[in-house]
This record gives sequence, structure tokens and C-alpha cells, in this order.
Amino acid sequence: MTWENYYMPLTTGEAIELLVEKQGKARIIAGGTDLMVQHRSDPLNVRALIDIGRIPGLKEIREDSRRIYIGASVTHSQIVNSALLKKKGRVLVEAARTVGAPQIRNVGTVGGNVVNAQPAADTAIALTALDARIHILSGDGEFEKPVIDTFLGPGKSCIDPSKELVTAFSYSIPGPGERSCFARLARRESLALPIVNLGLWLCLEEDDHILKDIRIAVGPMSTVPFRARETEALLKGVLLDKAVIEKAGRSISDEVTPRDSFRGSADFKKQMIGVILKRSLESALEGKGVDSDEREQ
Amino acid sequence: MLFIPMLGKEKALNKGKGEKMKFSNLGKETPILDGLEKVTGRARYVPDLKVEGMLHGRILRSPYPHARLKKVDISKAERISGVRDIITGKKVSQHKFGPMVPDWVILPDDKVRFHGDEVAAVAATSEESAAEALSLIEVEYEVLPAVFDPELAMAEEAPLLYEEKENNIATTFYVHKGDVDKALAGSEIVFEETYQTNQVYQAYMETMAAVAAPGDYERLTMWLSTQIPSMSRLRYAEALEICAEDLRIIKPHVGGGFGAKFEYKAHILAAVLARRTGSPVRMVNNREEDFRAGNPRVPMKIWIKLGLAKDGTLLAKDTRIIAGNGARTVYAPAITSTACYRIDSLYKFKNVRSTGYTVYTNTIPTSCFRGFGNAQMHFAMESALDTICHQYNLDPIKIRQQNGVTPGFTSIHGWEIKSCALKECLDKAVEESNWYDKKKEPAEKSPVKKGIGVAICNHVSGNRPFFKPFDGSSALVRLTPEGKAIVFTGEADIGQGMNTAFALIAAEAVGLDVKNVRTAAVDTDISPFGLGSFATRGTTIGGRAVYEAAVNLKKQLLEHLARVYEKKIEQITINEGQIYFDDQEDPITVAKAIQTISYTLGGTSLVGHGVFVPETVLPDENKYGNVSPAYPFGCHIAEVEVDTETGRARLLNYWAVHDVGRVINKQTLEGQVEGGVMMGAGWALGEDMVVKEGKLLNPNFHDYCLPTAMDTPRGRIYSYFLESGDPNGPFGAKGIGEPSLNPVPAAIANAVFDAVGVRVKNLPITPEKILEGLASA
Amino acid sequence: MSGSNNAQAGQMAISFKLNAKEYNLTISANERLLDLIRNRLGLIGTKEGCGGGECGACTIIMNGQAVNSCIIPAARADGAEILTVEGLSGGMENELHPLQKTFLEKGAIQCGYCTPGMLLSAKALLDQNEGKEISRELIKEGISGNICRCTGYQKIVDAIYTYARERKGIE
Repeated sequence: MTWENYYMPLTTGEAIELLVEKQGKARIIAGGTDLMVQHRSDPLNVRALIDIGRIPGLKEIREDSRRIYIGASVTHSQIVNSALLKKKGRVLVEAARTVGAPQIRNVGTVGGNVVNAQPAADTAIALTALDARIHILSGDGEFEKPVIDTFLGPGKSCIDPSKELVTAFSYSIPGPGERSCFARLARRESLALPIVNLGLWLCLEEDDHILKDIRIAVGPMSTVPFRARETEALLKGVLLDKAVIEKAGRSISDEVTPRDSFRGSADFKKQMIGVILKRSLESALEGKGVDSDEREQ
Repeated sequence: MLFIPMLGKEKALNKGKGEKMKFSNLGKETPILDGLEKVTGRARYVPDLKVEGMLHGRILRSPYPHARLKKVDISKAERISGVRDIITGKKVSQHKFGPMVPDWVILPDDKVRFHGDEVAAVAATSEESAAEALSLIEVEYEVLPAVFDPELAMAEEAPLLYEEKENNIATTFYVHKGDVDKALAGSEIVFEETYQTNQVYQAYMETMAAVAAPGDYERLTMWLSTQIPSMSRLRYAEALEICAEDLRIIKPHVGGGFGAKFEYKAHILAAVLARRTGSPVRMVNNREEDFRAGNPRVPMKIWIKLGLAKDGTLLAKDTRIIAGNGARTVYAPAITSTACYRIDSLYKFKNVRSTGYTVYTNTIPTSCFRGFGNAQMHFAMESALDTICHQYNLDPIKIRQQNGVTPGFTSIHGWEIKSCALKECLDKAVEESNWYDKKKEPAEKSPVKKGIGVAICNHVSGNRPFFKPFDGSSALVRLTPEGKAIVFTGEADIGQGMNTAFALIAAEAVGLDVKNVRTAAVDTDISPFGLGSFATRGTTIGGRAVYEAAVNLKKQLLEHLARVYEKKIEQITINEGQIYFDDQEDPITVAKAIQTISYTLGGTSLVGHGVFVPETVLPDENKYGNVSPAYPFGCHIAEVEVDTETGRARLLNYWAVHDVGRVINKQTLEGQVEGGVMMGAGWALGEDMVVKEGKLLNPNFHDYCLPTAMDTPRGRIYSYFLESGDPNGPFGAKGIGEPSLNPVPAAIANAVFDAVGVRVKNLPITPEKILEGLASA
Repeated sequence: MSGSNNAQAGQMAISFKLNAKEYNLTISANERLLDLIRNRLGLIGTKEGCGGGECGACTIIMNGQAVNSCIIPAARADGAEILTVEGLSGGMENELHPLQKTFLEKGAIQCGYCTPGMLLSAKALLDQNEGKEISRELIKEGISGNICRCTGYQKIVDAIYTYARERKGIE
């Protein structure tokens, strides 16, 4: 290992001060489940690591009147066990539950998952489906942007961990008719990266199956988490029935452009994304596997 | 005597009607005797050892699959502080050696032949210094054309790995008995197909490891993570050009092996560095190099042609196998020959022919992996039979009943089947799984379909040709003045529970309570010679030697009891640690008696010595001759569900019935079966070493997908044991290690076919292959 | 060479509680928690199986949660409460935690290399579900980060299930 200092600041202010002081020679570490592994084969060129795991505010899941906030160093396990998210963020809970295994979920964070920018990062896919925003702090102050805009390529994020600190993710509290769910296929049931994964958010007209709005996020279908906007467009304002669901499955298979890898050929991934979209929409139709605020009431 | 040798023709003991033997220690669920140290974390494995002054060894491995070594410059690396020694091909002897074919050198000075091949080795005072030194060794490679596919490697224009090996063929095996062409011509059913088995990794949790320490009298002590302590001593002495007596091998706890932990280059390099530096050297693979340069399963392409009568009687078998040897020879030739002809003694064949080529490629050297070639051929044979049954409307259970070997049968290769409950295994599996009811169930309406498949298996319990000089084992059982017995064996428990089985055998044979018996760790300075853990031979051959030693000990004990207590031997009974005299109400304890005896003998322990040399023979030039003292059999039935939209197959339930001769320890038998089934299921349903241009793309546990607890059957693995009482095994016991895996891939493939009508002929059975099959149906 | 000087510069003091014992140590800023436990404290029960958080052999319990110590910086142990297999029995020599006892009796151990990590994942799971009934499915998920190549998991799941029920007084 290369770094000479390991800091564990207690406030975001201290963390930013350290980043500024080290002038690009330090970087943020969240859970470190990816960073520590990557470092073995490709040593990090930094002098210091700044561990944000002790900053209380970054470990919170909370809501205000409009939005739900998930701190950047909230772990996958925290998401899985969050009563709030089970009610108002099902896609995220289901996504977090598929990541790695308990030991990874206990340490790996949602912030790390997003900054690591893998095209099929499960919680990144879920956050993209939720149209979440990312809250970032740097020496120049605080700003926010859509999560999807941070992804530049495989493993490439616009967030520079030697200059910036992700503080939280937020999304709108689901309103009436809104549901979400997550699905993935993998080589095995645990400790596996997905062959394909999908985050689905939709809003149904009350009392019928007309889709007012829909967001479909999928991976690894591109160099970054991908919004299937053509398929979304096809479904918007349409009555969700069996025929439409079949059509949606075909549409998304045509829309995505995955690559061959040893996890699966491009054709296989295209086919599979269609299957899991179909299954997710069917379960949405049946009200299974998805949740929304009003159904709990 | 408790042990009653039985002829194979006699009634097996556990079939309901026959009288049951009474045992004090056998047939129970005995927790492994070394469980306490394992469960507390105190058990020491090679990577846990610390020897005063120990250096850390690391190996520089080739980044090219085939390249000439033009220059290896260690001058910069040598200047790193803490570096004590760096060896390259130029610095070490270039004599050739090897377990089967002398194509090993300590380090090559001419060329490297696979991505991961050893180029240089460093010993340094810290792991960091060793790693830094490695990164500073400058190697000039001249990249050579390489060949990766064994079939392509046999082509005229293929680059040669070894100039003297024409067509890259390391070895050829050929056998022909009867008249296959004639029998095929006369067969009403002729079936021909090609199957492929892929390269998979044993994935023992403890990577390959060694600590080598120079000792007094110019000797060298090596602590090895090995399954062959005595054999590796001979081989490493040859490699190091020293007398075997100057090498002491100690085997502490071993974190699994499954066939991989035989002779290994890193062990030898640790020894060379230790001798050169005069300091202990530790060499422990990291997981990635263990993947890249371990000894994975021999991949095979198997062409098979079967001839049958209309009623399903097997008339002829013709096979041709091309097997991947990798870049140097470990045990692949023996594995290929096993694939060629071992299964011929599962069925009553009269005409068989087989040709097997073991071919060099610029890939990882391949070797033993639970099943030893027999598993590969079981996939082909048992898949083929299933397809034949489907095509010709034959019953897959009955065809196996009809053709399977029976007790007293001598196979076409002269293998003497003394004990055999194969038919009973089939019956039991059919009954427990509700086979015929499940076969009648209508297909599911949902996209997820259920299916059930069967496969049977045989194996050996010892394999005479594996080590040319002999097969056999010897053991000592020492009864201490405190009344405790210690078993000394050279056979290597690598986690299977063999040491516990040995203790049970000794306890039963002497009449002790197993709580007072333990098996000592293997140390070649103390332990008798034991060939090691392979060929499912431990319990049968090693166990029989322990049995003989225990019998010998008991004889001595009885004689001394008679002398000291002034009785006749016939008046004395020993059971569960108590000694009964027929003219005396109360027994005395063995502990008390042995103390009294030892005081009359200068305080000595009694030592029983036992030898077992099975009456097996090296096969003749036509491969005829009984190779094993006992043959285990089994029947597996797999129940799966297959998602027709995603192509994903999952295990629902699994029934494994084995003829183990005699149950020594039910708990560890079940453990072997459950582990073997999941290992087979991992292979069948997804494990695969993905190699591109000779480079392994998934050398880690994230991308190489071993089954996790969540991948186990939704229901259960049910295991049952039938006791056919083999005349050669201790108390009639036969082995279980490999038969527990042999039929698994075929049983699963057959179940997948039953579920969705897709026949996958090349392992693993991936979702893509199932979907392709469904699409083309 | 620069290595040793830098190592000096990269030292840091930490204090933590491990197996109910307080430690105040100076460590390297770039040390792994696994190396701290194995090499510095000499607690060899925690194994390295892959070094990449993919097999669970190095599992320990840190602040109540199962984690892979091979991918945790040792610095993070500062202020933490850690349990390794050596502390599972509560520090009593020759005493076993009921889970250890059940693993032993039920044959949930073969080569033993995964056993310490497996035990700690099981303990973390049971602790987190104190007072609740635990299904075999939940147990499988709870130990799904621990690879065992010997047992096929069935006896491990059975052992944990047996203990979980005994603990709840279910026969």
C-alpha cells in the first residue's frame, strides 16, 4: 500500500479542509470495498486517504416534506434494513440487497457505489430509476446534479474524490400511484456481479393501469448506467396490459447496446433485459414486488 | 476377530435380511477428532506458520503464454534492501524431472510456456521487499507463436512446446478388447456423440503453500500443504538432487486439496531458496497466482460411439479423447487413460476401444481434480445413455440395472468386482426420489419447468498404476502407558476426516473408546510411508493398514494381559476400553492394564505395526489387470428447475446413494457426499476458467463463480449408504471422495433435458446454452 | 531505500477493543486489518482466502457486523469493538460458544479453513435476529459471503438452524 496517512474526520468541513490542504494528493475513501481491491492490482497514487465513515451526517437516511435523503456513507445493509426505504424506496432496498454478500453490504456504501461508476452498479441503477440527485461538497462550496450526469464511462465519474466529497443522494417522496422495483440476473445467487440489472419506477393513473410516467434504468447496457428512454416513451400514457408488456420487452432488447463479456454475450444480455423488464412490469401490474406510499396506508 | 473377510458373492450385510454386524464405534455420526482446534481457530495451516528468521518467497511469472527468455536482469532487484536471494534459470541446475514425464526444470533458462510460468524467484525479509524486487526484475521476452486448443495443437502447423514432442502429444493411450467394429456392425442401436468438459479450478480455501527450513545434518524440513507427503518427499529429493532421507516433510492441517495439492513448483522453489540462503523460506500463493498456476482439471473433448441391442444391452463402446495437458505434465496422462477405460468396469462391456491423447498447449498445466478423468467420462457416458433411452424409449433406470456390474464380476479389463451394491443403489435412489411418480408428472404451465435425471458411477479405492513401484500402505498404532492410542500413518487427511476414520478403525479393532484414540499429523521422520490422498484410497488402503496395525497391537495386548494377569488369551475380551476376564465379574480399564503392563516392560508403549499390500497388479500391455482392491459404486438422481425465459437451471433436490462397503463414520460420509454434490453442481452449472489467448480472464472468486450457500438445492441433498462389505477394505469399507462427484454433471444434465428437452453436451450448462437449445427446438 | 523511512512516517496510533481486551497500538497507515490481526496480534484463526473480499475466510465482527478484514484498513479499527474466532467463547479456555459446539457436533467442519469466518457470519446473523425465528433461507443468505468448498454447506446451515431453534427454545 502506498498512502502514508489515513484520516478519519468527524465533519464534512474537516474532510474538505484535508482535501484542499493535500492539493490532489489525498482522496476520499468510503467503505473501501472496491477501492481496497482495485488498489491490489492497480496501486493508488495518493499520499493520504480520508475516510468519511465517521461523519455522522453522512450516515443518515431521512426525509423532509418533499424529498428523501440518503447519506453518502450509508451502507447497503443500512438501506436493506431501513424502514423508511422499505416504504418509500423499494427499488433501492431491492438493489442494495443483491450487492455482494452480507460482509460487503455491511461496509460498502451507496456513495462509493455511485462514484465507482460501474455501468451495472446496482444502487446506481436504482438511484437512476428514482431520478435521484447527488449532493456534492468541494472547496468551492456545495452543489447538486442528477445522479445520471455523474457517469462518464466505465469506472469514470465526474466526481473527483481528490477534490470533492459526495454528501448525499435525494429523490422525491413517492406520491400516489408511484411504484418501483429492481431485478437482476447473475451467475449465482450471492457474491456476483449482475449479468443484467434493471431499476424500474413508474406512476400509474389511479384505479387503472395507464402509465402516467415511467423510468427504466438498466446495466450493463452501455458504458454507463443507461436510461431506456425509447422504451419509456413507448410506455408513457399507455394502458399496461400483456401485449404492451411483451412489446416493451422487445423494445428494450432492441434499444440497448451491451458488449460481449465472460458474464454473457451481447445477444444474451439483450434478450435478458427484455425478460426482466417484462417480469418487472408484470409484477408492477399485479402490485407485487413493488411498493408505494399509498398502498401501505 | 471382529473382521470377517467376506467373499463378494456372499450376501451384502445391509440389505434387510442379512444379519447386521454389531460395532461399538462404526456406523455412527462421530464428529471429526480435530474439530476442536478447527472450531476455535487454533488449527495451524502452512500460511499460519512462523519460523525464526523466516524469509518471504515470491515468484515472478510470465505474462506471455509462450516466449523465449532472452534476458533476465536481476541487478536492480538485488539492490532492494531485505532481498536475500534471487534465482533464475541461469542460476539453477537444468536437470529434468517430473511426476510422470520429465518436462519440469526448477526454473527454465530457455523459454516460458504458459501465462503464469515461473521465471524467477525471490527470497526477502519481508513480503513488501519481495514484491518490490519482483517488480524490478527486467525480463526480455521474445514472444513466440502459441497454441491453446488441444485439438489445434495436434495439427501439423501448430507451434511446438517441446521440440521433441511431435504434434505436441505428450502421451497416447490405446486399448482395444473384443472386436468393437464387429460388435458395432451387429448392434441394432448405434449412437455417436461428442461431449466436452471444461477446465475448472479446485478452489481449496487454503492456497498452495510451503515453508522450507534448513536444519541440522544438512537436512531440509518442509511444511507443506499437500495431499502426498511421502511421495512429494521422493520427488522433491529428485528435484533438489539430494537423498530423500535428507528431506523431512511435515503436513500440518491442510485447507482442502481436491486433487490439486500434489507436486508443485512453488514448493521446490521454496526449498531451493532455503538451501541457498540457509534461512527458512515461506512461499504462499496469493489467490490470483493460485488460479493462474495451480493444477486445474484436465479439459477433454470426448467422442463416444455406443452399440446396443434393441433391448438396451450394451454391446460396444468406442471412444476417442483429446485432453489438454497444459504446458507441462503433472498427472494429465494418467487422467486421460482413466477417462479412456475406467468406466468400462461400471458396465458389463464385452467390446471396448479407446484412444486418448494428452496434448501440450500454452496453458496452465492441468492435473488431478476429484474424479480423475472418470468424472469427465461419466458426463459423456451417462449423458449418452440418457439420450439413447430417450430416442429408443428405453427406461434409464432399467438400462443401468441391466448392464451394470454385479458382485463377483470380472470386467473386460480384469478388474475384480468383489463387492457391489450398484443395483441396490439404483433401487434406493428410485424409491427415495419417487422417480417414477415424478417422471409421470405433467409439464408445468409456468415458464419454470421441473425435471429429474439419473446417473450412476463407479470408481476405484486405490489405483495400482498411479505410483509405479507399488500400491499399499503401512501404519503404526501405539498404545501409551496412559491408555491412549495414537495412530501413525503417512496418508494425508486434507480435511475429509480420514484421521477420524483411522481412529475409529483402530478403536474398533482393538476394542477402545474412540475418545482415547487420535491420529498423529504426518511427519515423514516419524510416520510410516503413505502414498497419500488420491484415487479414493485413504479409508480402504490406509484404513486397512491401520486395521492391521490395530489387530497386531491387540494381539500383543492380549499376550501381555495373559502374562501379567495370568489368564489364557481365550478368557479375555476387550471392548470400548474395558477388559473383561471370563472368570471375573468386574472389568478393568485398558488404561489401568496397559500401565501395569508397561511397568513390566521398562515403561514402553505397545506398538502395533500393520501393512496392507493389496493383491492388485500393474496392467499388462493390453491394460489388463486388477488395479484396485475395491470398487465403490453409486447412483445419483438430480431434480432441477429450469427457467425457460432466462435459461437458468437450479437444483431443487438431490438424492445420492453410495455403496461404501461399510459405514465407518456416517457424519463424514455425508459431508463428503454433500460436498461432492455441490462441487459437481458448481462444475455442471457454471464454473468455468475463461481463457483468452492463454490468459485466464477470471482469476478471482468474484468472476469464477463457486456455489455459495444460496446456490444449494432449494430442498436438500439426501444421502444414503449401502454396505456391501468389501473383503479388502477395513471392516469392508470402500472409498467415497471421488464417487461423490463423478455422476453429478451427468445427473444434472439429464435432469435439465427432462425439464426442457435441451441436451447440453459441453460443460458448463449455462443459461445461454439452454436458451440456444430452446430456440433451436 | 525509501520504503522503511516512509513506513516510519506513515505510522499512526490507534486503540480498539478486540475479544474484550483493550489494545493501544502503533500501526502503519496502509496496513490491512487482517494483517494487524494475524501478524501483529498473532491471532491466526482469521484466515486469508482471497484477499479481495470474495470468500469470507477473513470474516470478523466489527461493531456488531460481519466484515471481511482483508479489505478493511487497519486504521479503521480505531475506537472499534472487534470479535475474532478466538474471542467467540468469551475468552474462556476450553469453553465453546454454542455455535462452535453445534458446528463440531453436526459435522459442519471439514478442512476447517472457512470455519472461523463462517462462525462469525453465523454469530452476526443470529445477533441481528435476536428473539426472531430464523429460516434456513435467511441462514443461507447470512453465510452467502463465506465460501466453503468442502461441505456443500448443508451441515453448516443445519448446525446454525439447530442452534437458532435451541436458542429460541424450539425443539
